[in-house]
Amino acid sequence: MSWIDERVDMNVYSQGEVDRWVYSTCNICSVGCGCHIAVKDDKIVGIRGNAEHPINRGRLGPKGENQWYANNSTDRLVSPLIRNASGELVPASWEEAMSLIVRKTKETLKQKGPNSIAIYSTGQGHLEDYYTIAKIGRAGLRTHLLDANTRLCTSTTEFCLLQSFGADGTPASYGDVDQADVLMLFGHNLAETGTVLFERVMQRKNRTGKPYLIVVDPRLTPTAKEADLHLQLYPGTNVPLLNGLTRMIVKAGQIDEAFIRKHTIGYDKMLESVEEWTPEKCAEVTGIPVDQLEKGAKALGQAARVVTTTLQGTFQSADATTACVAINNYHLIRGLIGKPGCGPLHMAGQPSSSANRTVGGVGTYPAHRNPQNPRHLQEMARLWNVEERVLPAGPEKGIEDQISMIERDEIGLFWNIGTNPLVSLPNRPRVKKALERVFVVVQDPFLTETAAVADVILPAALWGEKEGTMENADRTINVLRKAVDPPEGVRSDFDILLDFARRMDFRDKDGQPLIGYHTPEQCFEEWKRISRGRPCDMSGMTYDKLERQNGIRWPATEVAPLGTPRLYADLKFRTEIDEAQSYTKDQFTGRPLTEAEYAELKADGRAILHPTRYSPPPERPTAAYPFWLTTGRLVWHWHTRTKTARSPYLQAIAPNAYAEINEEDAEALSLVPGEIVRIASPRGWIEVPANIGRTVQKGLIFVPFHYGSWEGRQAANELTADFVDPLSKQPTFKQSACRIEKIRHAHTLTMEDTLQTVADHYRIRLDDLRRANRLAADHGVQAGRTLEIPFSAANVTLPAYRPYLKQI
Amino acid sequence: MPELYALFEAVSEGARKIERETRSADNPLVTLLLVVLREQTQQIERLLPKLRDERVELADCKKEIAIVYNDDDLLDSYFRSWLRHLKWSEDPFEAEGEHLLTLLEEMKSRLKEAARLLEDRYGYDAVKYVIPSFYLPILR
Repeated sequence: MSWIDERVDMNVYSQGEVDRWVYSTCNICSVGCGCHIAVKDDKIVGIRGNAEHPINRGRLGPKGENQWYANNSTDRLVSPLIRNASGELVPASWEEAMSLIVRKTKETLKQKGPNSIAIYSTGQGHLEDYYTIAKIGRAGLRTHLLDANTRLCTSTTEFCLLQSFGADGTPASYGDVDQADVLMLFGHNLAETGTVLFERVMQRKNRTGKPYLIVVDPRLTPTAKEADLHLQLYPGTNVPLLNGLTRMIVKAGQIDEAFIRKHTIGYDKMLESVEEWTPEKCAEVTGIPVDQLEKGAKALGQAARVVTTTLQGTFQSADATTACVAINNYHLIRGLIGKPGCGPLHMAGQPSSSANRTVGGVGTYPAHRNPQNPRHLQEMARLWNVEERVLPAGPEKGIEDQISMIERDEIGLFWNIGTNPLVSLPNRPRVKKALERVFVVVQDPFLTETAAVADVILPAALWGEKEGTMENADRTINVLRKAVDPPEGVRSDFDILLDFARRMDFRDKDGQPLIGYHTPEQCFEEWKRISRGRPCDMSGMTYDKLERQNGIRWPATEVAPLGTPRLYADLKFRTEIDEAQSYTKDQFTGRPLTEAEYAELKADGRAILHPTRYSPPPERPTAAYPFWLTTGRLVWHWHTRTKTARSPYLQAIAPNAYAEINEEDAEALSLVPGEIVRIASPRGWIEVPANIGRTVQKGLIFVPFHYGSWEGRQAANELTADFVDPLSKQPTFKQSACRIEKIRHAHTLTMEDTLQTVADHYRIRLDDLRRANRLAADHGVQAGRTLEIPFSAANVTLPAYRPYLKQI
Repeated sequence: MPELYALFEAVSEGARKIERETRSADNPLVTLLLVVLREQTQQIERLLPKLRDERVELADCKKEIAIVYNDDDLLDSYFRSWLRHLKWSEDPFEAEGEHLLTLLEEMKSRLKEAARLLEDRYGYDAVKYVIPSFYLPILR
């Protein structure tokens, strides 16, 4: 491992010693740090990093250290709520709430059929919750409409892996990051989204000089500032960049021809698709000078050990899956996969979104089974003891298609579990209007913004109040023990789902209850049987082993119980027709291939190289909306701040949204630092302070997406367009068009006025008044002239989070 | 199978019309749309001669049928996205786009009707892996 030492980060607020420390895993980002929860008087009073856990050796990120405050928040929901005839949410008993949900479910099934019930879950729950959703959804409700907010964060990971390798499961792991000579962080702001892993990378880099760090990002992020080579491309040009780099590597002869011949198919068509991307054309489209492209191609073409990671800069862009496939192509043509220090490591955004994919709560059938393959559904029917004909076949519907279905009244019940779509989905005005048409169940610990459209709200337990497992971004399964009981009146997601299944009287073909388990651990034992023999085989794991080993990477079987550090070490890819998780999709249109088409490819255990044709973002800056808009995360907050805004520390540091604006653009518009501006797009507008600097390139505006309260106008998703990637159906949050509108008072100067008196009157700095009006000095400013007065100003300077600097 | 033949032929005509009307538009969504429309039309061209044979087995035409349906599913999504784009960009083509959406919805209705006929003829278990479930009768 890379860590040379341990450092136990701790945040405890307690009078005297705590009563006990309970084994757990951080529930924030996808890195998967081990931790212990401090308990005193049956309350969670803190957290500390697990020094023995190989992923973090005791370290925690700022959000991880502060996640426990939410557990004790005084505004926890402690009773179900039902919207009454007057439109008010009023407290109800669990009996009333669950009876209503069951009645609505049965009515909807009767009127509109199985594909009218949607379960939209999360990437922050437990594997056992997702598996239960998969079983209830497919074998109980028989619906295709199982999706989650993982669609917003990690579905591109799944689909790019299916396209190239036949099955989900990211090939490389953190151990490979530790051994890489070159690490390319592609659209991956690791310093803010995975602080502990970034610290791990930087500790090694500062110690050994390795890895050579290439960062691809249109913004000068904290990650990019540490790069050896920052490829600061124009928004929406990931595929042109990768095509250009691939072409240069091929032209330089830096490919592994024997590997390509023996272990891949599709090389010629792939090569044809990159042929037009000369360095000059690539430079013109991406905005990256040719010499920098050459530098990147040289590093990527010559290094013997390369890991490429991806995150939302890739996943939430136009051409998301094609960009990730291009990265897979690169690793395949150089033979850099399945060996130490090599491979793509497509990350996940959330702590357990990978688990949701793995067990079939979203996407395909459990344990990487192909919903188009009759043999896979027959196997599932046998394992679940149900008739095959009841199991829905074919591809699922992503959330954006579900919104369209709701608009057409095809969905009657939308069950929202552990996510806040009225802040997190693009084009929020449209989503709100749609969800107002349908019966909505919201299952959450708090009254989120989505409660505005809820018909029933179920209070759910938080991290630390329930037991289960999670899968992080590198296939590690970690266990979380229950530290305390949930508050009275609150139930775990798992218990709610089991209660629903019982009330719906779902049964197998022998008349036995469909859900035969009663605890998360029993559920995990059933899941192990489902996973046996599949790529994600977990039959060698138990809760106790997971705790003893501090996490195990799948596959982990009885014969190899310690797991698998990297996939495809044997160079046997999961593309055999009855092994593949998907028959793949057309790489350009996203149309699912038929079994016959897939058979014609004759992949037969070889990886698939796909052509990577460029399709630019559908919306681009125009005369009316001349700026690119991109959205993203801050190091200080998590998602829609449901948890992090309840930490006094995190909330105090970053209480409000803002718009990052390039200093040249600000100068051209005579904007004042911190001035409140209106950012408008064809969908809506927000009013936030201007954060002027060089983090964003000229012509680009960045708005953090965390802020979505109905009070105020700060929600980035009032602005974003709701287009999706053709393959993964992941929304393209990173590319919309917008404009900046100034919000200013007018002040006409009188004979008595000076600039100073005007500035004092409006409580702004004299320099800001001058800047806003392009005034060099007092003289020349005469009575009768009208000045623009910036509406107000706010301090938008956030402190940097760089604990790794302590190590240097 | 004259009924099925007529339904798929009408879908093909609709696809051709939408292709004609949209081919000059300049947007990546339209580029996708056109590729899908052309593929759908080609597949129906292959399918129609097979449907002339009353005794045709599903195995002989399931590849074409599956592609036609999956293409239609994509068309719906891409076309609605493009319509939103037209609205946001205040494009004068929006009104024509709305008209074409009606045509697209008619194509979908015909495909649903064809799905019902195919299910009647070959049985649910046979068509389940060929026709996406959203086109099959919703209640059974």
